[in-house]
Amino acid sequence: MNSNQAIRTMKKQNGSGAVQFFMMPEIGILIPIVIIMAVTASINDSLLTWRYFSTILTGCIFIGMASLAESLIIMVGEIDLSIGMSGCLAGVICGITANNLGWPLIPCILATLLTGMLVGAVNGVMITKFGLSSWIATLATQFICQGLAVTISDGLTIPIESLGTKVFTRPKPLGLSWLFFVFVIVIIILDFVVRKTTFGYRLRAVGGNKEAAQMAGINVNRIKLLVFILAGALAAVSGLFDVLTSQSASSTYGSGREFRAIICCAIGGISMAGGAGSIYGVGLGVLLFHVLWNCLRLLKVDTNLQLVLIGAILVLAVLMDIQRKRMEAKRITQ
Amino acid sequence: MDYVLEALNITKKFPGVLANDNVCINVKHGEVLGLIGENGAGKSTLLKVLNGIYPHGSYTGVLKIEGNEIRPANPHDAMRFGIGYVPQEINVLKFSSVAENIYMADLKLDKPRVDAGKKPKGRTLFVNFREMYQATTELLNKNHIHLDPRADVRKLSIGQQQMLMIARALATDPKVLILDEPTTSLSDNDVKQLFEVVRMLKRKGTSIIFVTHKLMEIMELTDRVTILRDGRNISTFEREQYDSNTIIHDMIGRELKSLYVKEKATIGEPVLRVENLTISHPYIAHKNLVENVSFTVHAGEVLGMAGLVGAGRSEVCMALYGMLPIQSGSIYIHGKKLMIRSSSHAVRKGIGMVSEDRKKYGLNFVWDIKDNITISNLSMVSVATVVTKGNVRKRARQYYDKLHIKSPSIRTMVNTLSGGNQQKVVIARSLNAEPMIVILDEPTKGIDVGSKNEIYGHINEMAKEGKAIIMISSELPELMAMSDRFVVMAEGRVAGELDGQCANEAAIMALAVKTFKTIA
Repeated sequence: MNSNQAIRTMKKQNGSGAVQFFMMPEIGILIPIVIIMAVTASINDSLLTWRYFSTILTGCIFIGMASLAESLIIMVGEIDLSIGMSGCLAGVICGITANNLGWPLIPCILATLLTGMLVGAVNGVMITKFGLSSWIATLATQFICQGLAVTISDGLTIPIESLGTKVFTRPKPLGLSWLFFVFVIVIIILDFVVRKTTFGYRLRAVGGNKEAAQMAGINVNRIKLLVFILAGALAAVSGLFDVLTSQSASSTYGSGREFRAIICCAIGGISMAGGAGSIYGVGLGVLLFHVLWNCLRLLKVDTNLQLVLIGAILVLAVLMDIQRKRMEAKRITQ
Repeated sequence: MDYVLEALNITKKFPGVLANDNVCINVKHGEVLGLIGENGAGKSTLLKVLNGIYPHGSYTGVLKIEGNEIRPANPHDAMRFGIGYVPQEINVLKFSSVAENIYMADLKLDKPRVDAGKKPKGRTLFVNFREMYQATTELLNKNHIHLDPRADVRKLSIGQQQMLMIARALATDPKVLILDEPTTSLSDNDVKQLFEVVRMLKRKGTSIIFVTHKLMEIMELTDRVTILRDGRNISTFEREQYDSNTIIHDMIGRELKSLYVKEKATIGEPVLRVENLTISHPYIAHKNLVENVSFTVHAGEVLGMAGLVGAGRSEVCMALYGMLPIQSGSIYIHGKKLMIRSSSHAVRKGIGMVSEDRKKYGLNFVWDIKDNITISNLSMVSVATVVTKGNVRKRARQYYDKLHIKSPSIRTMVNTLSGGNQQKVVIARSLNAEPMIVILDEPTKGIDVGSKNEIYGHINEMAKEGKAIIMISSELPELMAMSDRFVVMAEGRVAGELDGQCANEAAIMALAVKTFKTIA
């Protein structure tokens, strides 16, 4: 191909502004969000009030934090089914250290995060050192975490008033909780880490082609272990959000959260084959999931039917993503 | 009718690419037609048209079998019309027997028990293994293929698996058999056997389309060749009309002064010394893949590792690169003894490697060229662990230009590149880590002549820069031309070392087929 042709091809690849805008994976998800909201708002206008929307946003943070954890794991080419329960265990540890041991706030939070990281490390070691499949290893830790959480808490709800964290339960400022801002900050930091840092490049390289990454001199096992530990910490934050919001710790929190997180990742355009995806996409995926859920509630759709519709939306989202990729591939070959 | 198969004016378009432009080929009864061309010349597209992967209607042009037009809608259809196809990649069911593999699509089923007064109808749901083994034995004997119908396929060698694929295609008794680069992963001995089978089929009147990159095969086996370039017919020659120069000329469209270009570099200090390297078998206890291998590589030297497929050459290289655990032995780099723990450790110690399995160990196919090149050395393009796009572009551009990678830009996705260009990206990635020792495992496998020639140039350049190079190749002429010295391996051991001057093909092969009394 001579240089003139090359330049022409490059121009074609960039395409017109509108097409490129649509091709951004993040925008692809915004479109259904807007459509669903418009339809719902035309029937029930309480959706468009900031008060209602702010409760949706605040409600996002629990599954949202778990989705961020899951998205890193999927991007590195594995799966983590222990996200929900390791968060739950971490939350119970927070309750125990605060209520039974009387620790102050900061050590409590550190203990919570360490619990999550420990579970992540156990997952990571089982997968990288002993070669277990991540499905099995994390399924096992899911059970272990749940069992430990119930055992440690005696199945009781543990109050954490001693921490003096009531401030987190108040909808402030702008009607959003402080925790929501923590969530947004974590998204911004993670996006930077994944897209810009050497760790992020290596993470995506491992997810894209593990063997090729190894040939390129990347310590694949270390990257995977680090990702599992980081995901464990994020899962613990998700558990901590539960505890701070409800001002109590319980072994009943967070069950089934890992599967919702996987759904949000899929909607958010994280490639299930690993190696590709955007953290902002996950954020929007979580938002779409919650908007949909709340809209169905506002439309007074039967709770069981809601599940059916959510499943259908998941399929639709993934189909749309496949279509988008096809269009992109076509554009490149042209 | 003269021709058994005719493809007339085949034109197949992809978005933006004219993959086949009025291509015509024809095959006579009982001849071996060589079909050659560089990567991207349109061979694969043509084959896919012939065997029905691209159904009738998705292209323009006419296919004829013995003068009658056929319109295959899928590969099964093409098979019914008498076109047998053996794909390039080994593609067998590893956990089944030879017979099951051959008759998988057409299992020999039990006939139902016939009740008195009733007509037998159809067949039962149960496989009649006796009939299947019987049929397989007949098929294999008829075609002089030496395989045990009951053998477990996973225990077969690559060469035997290739034979199995041919047997599978022959089960439908095709009029034309298409072999798509059948020798890519075969050892010389297996190639010989394959040639015998091809000649025997020819004698029995089966026509064969033999697709290959290797000139030696064109010289030795084919009766006629058709050369494609850029999706068009360039020429068709009878056997007596061509020699390797005419073919190379028509394939690449320019004169190649010489396929192999070796420029001697000054050979310096020893860089890598391996002593008594032993690698144990990962699954079988008390069995070693490699035993007591020792050799030295100097700066500026190309050490050719010769041997048959399975002699343990790749294993030695993988172990040096930290991808296989070392049982015992020592490795010295610049005289300093060290244990290589992982590939990242190897890279830090100045070792670079290009693997023979481009698909598996090659590239991150969801990325573009620049990211694939720079991933091996992120510290060069980052400040305080933050990667900067500008540095990535600059660094990638440097190697992109150096290796003459052909693509619209450095942002082109690697999965859209041809094999030769992908290989150049792999080499660029490995050079980007600035290694002192470069291990090249079959660096020209499955790529076209033009790209091969360029890669030889890059090997010379590396040697001139003072890098120590270990090169593995199953193409002996290539290895002979490029290496300064040879280590010949056989059965996991060093069978001998040969100096560049006194080495010839016979001497190398004599060592390569050496058998040792016992392998513990």
